[in-house]
Amino acid sequence: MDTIERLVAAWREEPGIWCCVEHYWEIPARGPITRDFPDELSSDIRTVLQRVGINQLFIHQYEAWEKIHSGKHVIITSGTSSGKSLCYQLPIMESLVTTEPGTALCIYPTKSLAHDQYDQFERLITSLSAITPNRLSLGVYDGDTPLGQRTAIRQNANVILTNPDMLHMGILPHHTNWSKFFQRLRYVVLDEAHHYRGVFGSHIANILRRLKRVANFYGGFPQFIFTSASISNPIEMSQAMLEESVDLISEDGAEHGKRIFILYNPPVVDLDLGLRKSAVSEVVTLSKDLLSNNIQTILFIRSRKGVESLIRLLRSTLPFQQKNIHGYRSGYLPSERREIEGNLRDGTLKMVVSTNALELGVDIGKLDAVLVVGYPGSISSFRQQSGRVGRRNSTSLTLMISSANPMDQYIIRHPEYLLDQNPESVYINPDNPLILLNHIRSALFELPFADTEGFGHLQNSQLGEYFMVLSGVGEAQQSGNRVFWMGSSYPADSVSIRNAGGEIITLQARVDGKDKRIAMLDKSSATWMAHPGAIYVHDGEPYEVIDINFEDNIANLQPANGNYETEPVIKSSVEKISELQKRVYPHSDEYVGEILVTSQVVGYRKYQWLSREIVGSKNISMPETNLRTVGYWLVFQESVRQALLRENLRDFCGNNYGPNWTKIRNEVRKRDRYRCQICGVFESDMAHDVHHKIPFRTFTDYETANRLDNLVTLCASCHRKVEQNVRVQSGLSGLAYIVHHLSPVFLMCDFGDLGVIAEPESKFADGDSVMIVYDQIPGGIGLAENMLEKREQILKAAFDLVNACGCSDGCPSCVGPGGENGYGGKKEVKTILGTLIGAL
Amino acid sequence: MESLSDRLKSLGMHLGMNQTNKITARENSLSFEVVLDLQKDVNLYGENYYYHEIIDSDYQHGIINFSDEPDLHSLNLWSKISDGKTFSKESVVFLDCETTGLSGGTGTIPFLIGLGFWKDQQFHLYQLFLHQPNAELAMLTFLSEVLTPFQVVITFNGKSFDIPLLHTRFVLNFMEDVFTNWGHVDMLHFARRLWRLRLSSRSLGSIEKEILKITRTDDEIPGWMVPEMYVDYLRSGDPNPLKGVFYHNKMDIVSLAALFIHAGKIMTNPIQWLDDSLDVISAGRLFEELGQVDTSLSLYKAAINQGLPLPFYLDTLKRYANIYRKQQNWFRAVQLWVMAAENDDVDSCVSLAKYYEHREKDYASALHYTEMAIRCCVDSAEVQRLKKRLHRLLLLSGFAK
Repeated sequence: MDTIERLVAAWREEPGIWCCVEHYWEIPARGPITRDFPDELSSDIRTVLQRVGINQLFIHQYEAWEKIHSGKHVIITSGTSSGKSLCYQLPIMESLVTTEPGTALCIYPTKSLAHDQYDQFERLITSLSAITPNRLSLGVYDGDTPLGQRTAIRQNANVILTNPDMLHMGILPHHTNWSKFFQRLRYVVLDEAHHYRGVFGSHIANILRRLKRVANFYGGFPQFIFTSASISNPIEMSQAMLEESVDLISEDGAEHGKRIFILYNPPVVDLDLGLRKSAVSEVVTLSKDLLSNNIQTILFIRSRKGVESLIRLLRSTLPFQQKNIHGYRSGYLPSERREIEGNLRDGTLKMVVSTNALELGVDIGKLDAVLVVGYPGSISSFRQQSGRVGRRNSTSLTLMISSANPMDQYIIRHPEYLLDQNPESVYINPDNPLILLNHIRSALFELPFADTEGFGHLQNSQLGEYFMVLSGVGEAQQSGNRVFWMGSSYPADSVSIRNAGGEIITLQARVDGKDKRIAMLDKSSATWMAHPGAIYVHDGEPYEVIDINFEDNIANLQPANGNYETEPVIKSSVEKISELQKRVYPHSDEYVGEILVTSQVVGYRKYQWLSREIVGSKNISMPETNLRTVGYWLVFQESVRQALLRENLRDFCGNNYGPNWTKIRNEVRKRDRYRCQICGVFESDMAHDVHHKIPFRTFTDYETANRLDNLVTLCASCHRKVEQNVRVQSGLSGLAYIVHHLSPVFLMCDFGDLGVIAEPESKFADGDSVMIVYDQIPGGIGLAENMLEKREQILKAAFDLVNACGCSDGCPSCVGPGGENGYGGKKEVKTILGTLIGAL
Repeated sequence: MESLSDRLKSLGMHLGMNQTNKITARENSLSFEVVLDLQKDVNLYGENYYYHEIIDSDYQHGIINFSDEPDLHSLNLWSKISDGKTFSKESVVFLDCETTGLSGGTGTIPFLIGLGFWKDQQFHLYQLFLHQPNAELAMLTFLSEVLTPFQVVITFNGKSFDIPLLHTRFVLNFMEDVFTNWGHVDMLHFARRLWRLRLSSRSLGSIEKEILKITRTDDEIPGWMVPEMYVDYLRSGDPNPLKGVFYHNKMDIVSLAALFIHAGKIMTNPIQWLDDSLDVISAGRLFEELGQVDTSLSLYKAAINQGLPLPFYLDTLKRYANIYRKQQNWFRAVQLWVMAAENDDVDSCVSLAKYYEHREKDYASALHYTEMAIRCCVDSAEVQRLKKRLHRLLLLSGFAK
């Protein structure tokens, strides 16, 4: 029996473990699906392939060859380690052995990936060089390439491996140095293209517009080859990026052994509060079993800080295995990383704890088991991580341990998300005006615009207003039938393609007496990530912000001890600018439109790092920031309020307020002179009610809840209104919590990409209650529009999650821990969601 | 409807620059050709405008007279221009571009290309003006034509700026780069070598002031203002402020030519033309690198006689001695090392110690200089090494006794 199967069988017999296994499934072993080499493949290439032991192609490699050979742009979404690289290496190599060798540009999302791919590709090219008369060379051209080598690489390399940043900053604005390369440019490869989502993807789309423009100028019309993890809209994504038609290759002919998947939910330790045992402590137990069975394992954890603390924990609890456990994340030295990768490949390292840094195609060979600690935030990420295991002939294991986050709890209840072929979509918005303007500036710098020329799918007429803005600041000049760049700056410098644009704040820390630049943030993020007192974590190292200066755009930091982290307290208000879309549903009106969110950081809380316990808070006052963006909003119709009201009536009496409640109640009525403290009416035949300002249920003991300053006398009708408002309030904040946590699953974005505000009696909605979900990127990148499209799914998922949660009145896994704004609000959220989706 | 620029601003875009500084076109203004006194050339690709001026053959530019005929042999040697392109005063062209920016790259446009050359003793200044951005092909075609007689270009910082920039322009206009296979002498490199010890800045401006003794008139505008003046002209149509740019460019060309003559003279007879001893030792090093040891020795000697600040004095003594050491002229070398050692120079003490130990087997003298070196030395690692030497010498001298 296979080691993994033996271990899983043993776990089955262990009730403490197996009771936590919410789902178990297997994918049977599969043999390879192959084809013979295509007839057109030249003999030199065959020889090279045969030398490295490739005698046939997997079906997806064969299909890719055929489509590319027929001149189509393609996107390949076959699984991790299925030999995707060969799909583009083959046609590139073929173009190198012709009488007029072409050139190719391979773009990787990170430098390290480019270097890794260089090593692999280089072996093939060297072997090919030996048998072909053509002079072949491959070169990495990025920020680390020594200046002295750049000219030689530009002039000689047939294949350039680079990253989007270098293409944007170094290559395109100096394209005349690359004229020969562009003239012969046959292929452009975008590897791991699913990384190009959101703002980054929108920049990439514009960089591709510029790349095509420059290549065309020299008579080059390259074919584009994308590779991507499996996403649900590969064609839509690649076509949005390229603005041309793209063919999909999604089959996967690679073989694999049996694969076991386990979803593990740590046991509930406090049913009422919905508290679960922490994922980390479960990881230690499971890791011990894996290590003692000599199973090579990779642990994925979301944060870099998590990597370090998990290693510490594992090493201290498993003293005999210390040397077998290592970390891996960005921030490690390249040499250190190479060594870890090597030790993983040759099997000497048994366990590696990593961030998603190892998700990217870095070559570490295949491992036996992967432990995913906490849902990684997207299905394709999960698949990439689980793709790290699966040897040809033995069984492999993917085990995901969920955290208390609603996203995790939703996924663990809906494993079909992970199973079925419906991973997330990737969205980009290349025409976001901020992003577009910066690329038009760069494009204009690169080549003047003819008066008939467009930019991507944009017609010249649509560019006119951009040119006008640029002429207004002296950066563009019409002359004859062309528009010229006339600025004295280097426009690519002023854009960070991993940010939306606008002003940038530099974070610097004083380390060893020198100011070290740590990170750059756009201004709006800086106000809440880098306010004075904030703990900012970079490369696993915590820093405390000393001050931030918005005139010089600099924040000063100092290394911090890392015992706690901070969370800002933000006061926000929203104004409507325009309505772009409106849909009417039975219980709500829903919109997409432009909004202005004004936020102010008014304080922050300090959290103990592991326990999440609040250890302090402080009030501060940061300047207001304005975010103009696109939002989705849901205006509740009266029917929702009515439903809440009915719920409210059913639930109104019967609370037990403690042994001496009658006495206290009388005291309060007397204190308030038997008058309602809202409308002022005196008691007549019936005694007034006594209301808890901060709801009774949020207290753990009745004495504190019943302190006189928390009590007030109200008449029955005012009391109902107040209670109702409290309920609406808690319902809305619970709803905001769950929608904020769950939507990223459906929109394929990070939690921080979205902002959610819910207000009762909101000015925004002319006095109705409203929930607003907005894009955190100025100008928006399509998340709000997508929210409207997916509202049904998201609301339904939220409803299911709240219904299935075992807690009594709200917990971190559903509507959030109660207490701040009223009740836990679980019942109210259920009522609101149930009404909206018509389930009640 | 909301304008794009308002929309961008509310999205947080910082549009910068002098948007408020609205420049309105002046009516009834004279045309640029008249204001700037330009001539017109027409070719297949359009019209060209250029300024042409002939400068008198005996024009005096600071300390330089344009009728001087320096021997350019040594300057030719220094320039290391490939054979067959030996240059004379009348076979070179001086070039300097005024551009829309300083960053380089495809978006930086040279809008004024200044050229200068001697023809029949007279100095000709040509300034090719890009009267509109669209006229570049016509201008570059004209430029190629004007440059036809030449094979060697003289610039100031042209190796990293002007020539690559023009290369980019030729590529963008699908033209052959006229400078391919040309000889190129970048006078910035010369200035750096010759005046690096004395002048804190080796810009053309400070060379002009400190070396050529020229002050520009009030017409001068500083180089950093040039880009915006052209943009302002395109927006306003008022050519008047450009006069300053033309003056600036003209002075750059004329000073470059003067520097060229001066460099020729210096290279032919450095002692006569250099009066600061720091410049003399710089020239000494330059000739030493060229392998002209005799010239170099005489320069070092002259500088020492003239007097030098101590660190330069010691450095020069050592270089001087080193040349004799290579020639195995130990007598001279020792003399010079002793002069330096008297000024507490550790290196020279060590050189002397080595000399006495290995050549003369005079361990007592070797010991003396090693002890002296240890006394003068402040670097603790070096002291350790010296102490090892001392120890060895003590042993050796013991045996000798």
